[in-house]
Amino acid sequence: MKCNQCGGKAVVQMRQHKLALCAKDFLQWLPDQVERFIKKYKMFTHSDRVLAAVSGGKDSLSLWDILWRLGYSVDGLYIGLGIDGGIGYSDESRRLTEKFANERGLRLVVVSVPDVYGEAIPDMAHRTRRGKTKPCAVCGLTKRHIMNRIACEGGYDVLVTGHNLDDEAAALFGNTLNWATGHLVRQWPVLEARPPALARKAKPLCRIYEREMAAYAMLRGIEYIYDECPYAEGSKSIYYKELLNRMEADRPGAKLSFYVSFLQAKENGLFAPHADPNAESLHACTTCGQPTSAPGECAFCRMTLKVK
Amino acid sequence: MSVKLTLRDKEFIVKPGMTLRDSLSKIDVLPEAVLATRQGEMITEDEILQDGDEIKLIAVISGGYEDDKTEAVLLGINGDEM
Ligand code: SF4
Ligand SMILES: [Zn+2]
Ligand SMILES: [Zn+2]
Repeated sequence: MKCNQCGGKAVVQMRQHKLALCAKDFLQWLPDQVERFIKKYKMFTHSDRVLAAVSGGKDSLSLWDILWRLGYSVDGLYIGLGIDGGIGYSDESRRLTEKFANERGLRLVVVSVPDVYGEAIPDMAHRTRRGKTKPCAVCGLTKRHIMNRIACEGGYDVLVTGHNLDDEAAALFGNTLNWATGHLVRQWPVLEARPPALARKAKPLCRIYEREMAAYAMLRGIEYIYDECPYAEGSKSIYYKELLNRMEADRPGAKLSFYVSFLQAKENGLFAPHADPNAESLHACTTCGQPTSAPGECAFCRMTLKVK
Repeated sequence: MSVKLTLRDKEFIVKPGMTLRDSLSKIDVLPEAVLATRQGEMITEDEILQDGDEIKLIAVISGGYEDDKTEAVLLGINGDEM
């Protein structure tokens, strides 16, 4: 197969775009696409200070690399979860993230959950009964809390995450199966900041296929953690992604159009803002000051206090 | 006469002379879920696999990302907008 741009040997074929590219042209094309969507959805500009949440995985490290190459001012935030799973998952992902940042001279903020909150994620989940089978709920709550706190404390204009199109399409699929109206109302490439202290958030990779992100990491020579978090196994998101990829195999572009048509339908007023049960104003947590939907303590503080 | 494909700790043997896409379908691996390399070089799906080829498949799908949210809802602890 030939590269559509230079006629050389193609290494990546993107059926949904009817496009095949060689390594050199692909490494140029993908960041251009990301830049295009940053502008299209008005995520942030070159004068903004950006904080990228990085896990050591292919998506977040590639995102950081791309934003840095595009000339944005972007720092990284790594959250140490204290997950081992027999493969030293947290240690290894931290090592790779630090290596990545050092090689590029980028600033990385590291927050270790066991150091700051006295307990690793699996232990926290175990004790609070909230993670009977999996610590993911506790983990997600903790990550969102820390990301928002660091983004606000550090005076960043926007917090970005490495969610790719497959992540977004899978989330949309799950939210649609449950008609999770609150989530459907909020699902968008960028979320505005809200008082008190809810940081602005953006997903610059929301229209890039997961497979292309892996190809980018590989062709760029980014060393990322290949092993999954041990708790990701059997997760619903993986199941939904597989279903979507089955459709994609028969009908290239199926998952892209599922997501993009949703965005268009929303722009045309498919979901009324008040369908979001959390649409009313937010309150400041009485303990940590971070936003919460009900007056009093936020869910994170209630959870960590229970631990102490 | 065979082509060997590996994916994580799994190994598959297929006949030579098929395209990568057909080989993936034979071993029931979704083309969207992997990248294929031969001798360290990424190859496209139309590539015909030759006798003796060793193809390394790299899994590209990761999970857990949005699960935290879904589960948080189920557990009723997603009171926060974050
Ligand atoms: S799979 Fe679950 S426990 Fe692992 S990082 Fe993701 S949310 Fe956290
Ligand atoms: Zn080219
Ligand atoms: Zn709090």
